[in-house]
Amino acid sequence: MTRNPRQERPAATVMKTETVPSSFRDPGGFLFYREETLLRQVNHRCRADYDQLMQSGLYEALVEDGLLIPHQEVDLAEAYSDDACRVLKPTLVPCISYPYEWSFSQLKDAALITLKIQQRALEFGMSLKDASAYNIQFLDGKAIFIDTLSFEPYRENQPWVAYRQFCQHFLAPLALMCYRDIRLGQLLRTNIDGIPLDLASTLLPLRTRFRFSLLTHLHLHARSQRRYANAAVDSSRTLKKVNVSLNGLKAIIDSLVSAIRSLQWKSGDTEWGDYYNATNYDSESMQHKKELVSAFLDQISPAPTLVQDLGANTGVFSRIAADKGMNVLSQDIDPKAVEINYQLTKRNREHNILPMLVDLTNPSPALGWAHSERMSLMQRGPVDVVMALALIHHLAISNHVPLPDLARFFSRMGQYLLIEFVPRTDSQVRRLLATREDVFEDYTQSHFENAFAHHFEQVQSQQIRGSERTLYLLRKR
Amino acid sequence: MAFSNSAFAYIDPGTGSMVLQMAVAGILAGLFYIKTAWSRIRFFFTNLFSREKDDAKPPAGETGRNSDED
Repeated sequence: MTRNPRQERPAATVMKTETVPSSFRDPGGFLFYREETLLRQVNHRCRADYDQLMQSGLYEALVEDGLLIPHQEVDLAEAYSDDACRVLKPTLVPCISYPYEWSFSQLKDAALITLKIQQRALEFGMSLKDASAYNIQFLDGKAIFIDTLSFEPYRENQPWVAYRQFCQHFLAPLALMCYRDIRLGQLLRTNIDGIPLDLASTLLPLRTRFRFSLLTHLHLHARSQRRYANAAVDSSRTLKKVNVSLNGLKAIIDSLVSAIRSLQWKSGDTEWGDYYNATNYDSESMQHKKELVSAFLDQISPAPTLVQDLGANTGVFSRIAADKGMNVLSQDIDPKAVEINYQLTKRNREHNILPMLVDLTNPSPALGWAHSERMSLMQRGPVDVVMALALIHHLAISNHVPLPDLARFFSRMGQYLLIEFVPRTDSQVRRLLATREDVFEDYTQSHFENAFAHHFEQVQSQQIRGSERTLYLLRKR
Repeated sequence: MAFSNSAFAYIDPGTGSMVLQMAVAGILAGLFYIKTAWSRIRFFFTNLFSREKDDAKPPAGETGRNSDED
């Protein structure tokens, strides 16, 4: 086990390896790429924990219930460094998303499976050592835990070490979204280790103090943190006195489950929720647009596997691509539309649509230490096909992006672009122009075609029946 | 020594969070015990009656969960 795999390998066959920047924090192991393959190294110091996970039956139980990402053990020669005692090849998650890109229910489901995993772990004599929302991804339409090295043996009378992290990553944002404003979920973007509890406590309305679960896990929790903040130097003495029985620990987890379950988002009317009723399409042109989208997607060869639907609303057109077996990132700026989209994927048991909350005028940046813990939206691309339906007028007029810039942006995002041009005469554009000075002389169909011709060649275009809009299929040059 | 310090090597759990857990556990443990006991009693009778009705087995998940506890 102590041999150095790199020394044994002939120099000529040394492959390109690269660690995944987001996994530097855990001394127990990390992710790395060997060529195109994602591997996870288990370090010697985490060996006992990992072996207990595998031998106790916990791994099998969690994988069987679809709660934990499955992996295969591969040859130790694949290891990245000498510290390795095991090398794992986890099942790949095709599309990475982050908590600030999830709808309310996506974050809620992520919270509930984290707690479910902790409950199962306790049954098998183990415990989660962290409860980061970034340990959850969506695979086949369901939330799944991806950090195989987050388990440690349960020690008698120990409290849950990840309790604070759970409250910061899940309970605080969900409570704020539910009781104050859905947009406060975006605080997760500025606070990479979850929303500080004192901040959450300040922002939450008074009535949350009359709910026992929120009173204890958020408000009193924040107060307790403040009270003991200065006791940190002397904390080892204080902590020795902290005893939580197994039954007490289970009670806390059970209370967190009830707290999370009881949080329901009852949305007010947001911008786009009833867009499909307010749109100027009559049903005939909508039907024709669907047919065209389907036909254009069929023309792409080889058949695309990954599609990014920008401004997807509740995912009507995403589902056309998904029905063809493509994985679809279904992105919209409106939390309500993303929520409805996610509810639909759950109700219909759709495996290949990932609803995401994305503001394209200010997309997710690279975050964290050295800008490399969380990838920007662009870093996670490019995709095979970008769909931009009924979107361009919002970017060109509401957000003042010139058409050549839009063309360059889209050319960086994907190989093919399925884009709808919405002319000035369209009622939606007129509505946007009604409240603005019209400085958009360049916003014409011929300018659009010229601007995009710099980066794309046109495969096909067709006017949508019963409207003045045109749908284009473009291929990157 | 109640637990090993190594548990805190990786993320900072915060002293306040630990102390609060002890307080909350004290309040909730009793209620949780009653809740668990009650669900067991309920399960016992549901099981009894459903067996009387159609001799059907309880859902696999339910049996598994109860047999694993404690």
